[in-house]
Amino acid sequence: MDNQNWQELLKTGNEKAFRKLIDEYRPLVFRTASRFLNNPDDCSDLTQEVFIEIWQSIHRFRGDASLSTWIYRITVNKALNQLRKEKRKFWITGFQKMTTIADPATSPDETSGKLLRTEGARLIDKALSELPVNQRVAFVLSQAENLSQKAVAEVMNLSESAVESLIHRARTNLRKKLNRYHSE
Amino acid sequence: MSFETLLDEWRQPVVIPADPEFSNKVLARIKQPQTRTIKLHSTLIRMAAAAMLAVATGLGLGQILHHQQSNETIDNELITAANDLGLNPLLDDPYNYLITEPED
Repeated sequence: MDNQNWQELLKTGNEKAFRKLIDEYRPLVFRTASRFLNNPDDCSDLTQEVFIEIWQSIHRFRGDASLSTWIYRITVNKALNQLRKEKRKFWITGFQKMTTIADPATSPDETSGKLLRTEGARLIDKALSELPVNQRVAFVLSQAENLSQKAVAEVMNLSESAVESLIHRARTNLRKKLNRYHSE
Repeated sequence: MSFETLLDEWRQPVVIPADPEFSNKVLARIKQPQTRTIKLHSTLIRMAAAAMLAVATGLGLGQILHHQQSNETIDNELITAANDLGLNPLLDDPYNYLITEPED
């Protein structure tokens, strides 16, 4: 199954072609999701959502950009939506916590369900979570996923110079935030 | 620890959990889309919040209407008082009569 043929088969809803796509791109999707979400279960759920979205909208993929660029775009959008939902949920769960007496026997362990990351990596994650969204996305795609500025620009639908500026600002802001953590 | 060292640590790829059933799970969800279960607890909290908002809006509206009514009452009382004093409230400044010395 060559690449062209494979993409055509995908568009016709061929299950075998879709399984191949999942095998090939699941690591990319999970990895990218994990740069935005801390919980592996959330990353797995999001990875499933991404592939469902791909299945539902593959017919709209025109092939102007590469398939991986398109998949990155879907993953980042879904991850950012998930973060927005979590922010909204914060109010509801905050209210629930105020009105519910926690049972220590059933309270989940704080450390369980977290992605295994070193202390240094967690510091960067914390600082990244405080950056403006577009700086965070540009930084993650270029520094963690090793995408070129051109590829990041395609994923984010921005110019290369805009991406360059975002990455530069993200670096500067990260340094400032990390210095602040050390001084606290 | 330098910034670059921290970044190197952060760049280390995350461990992707093995899940041989992953594609089957995705296909199962595609073929049999799950209906969203309504979470009673969240729904009740949302309903309570909506009710509180409605009550607050009602109170606000009530206060505005009451304020308008009060203004109308004051206006009516002023007109009555002006009539009693023999003033014409439709004049630009009906109370000018009280502070202006009568002409000889």
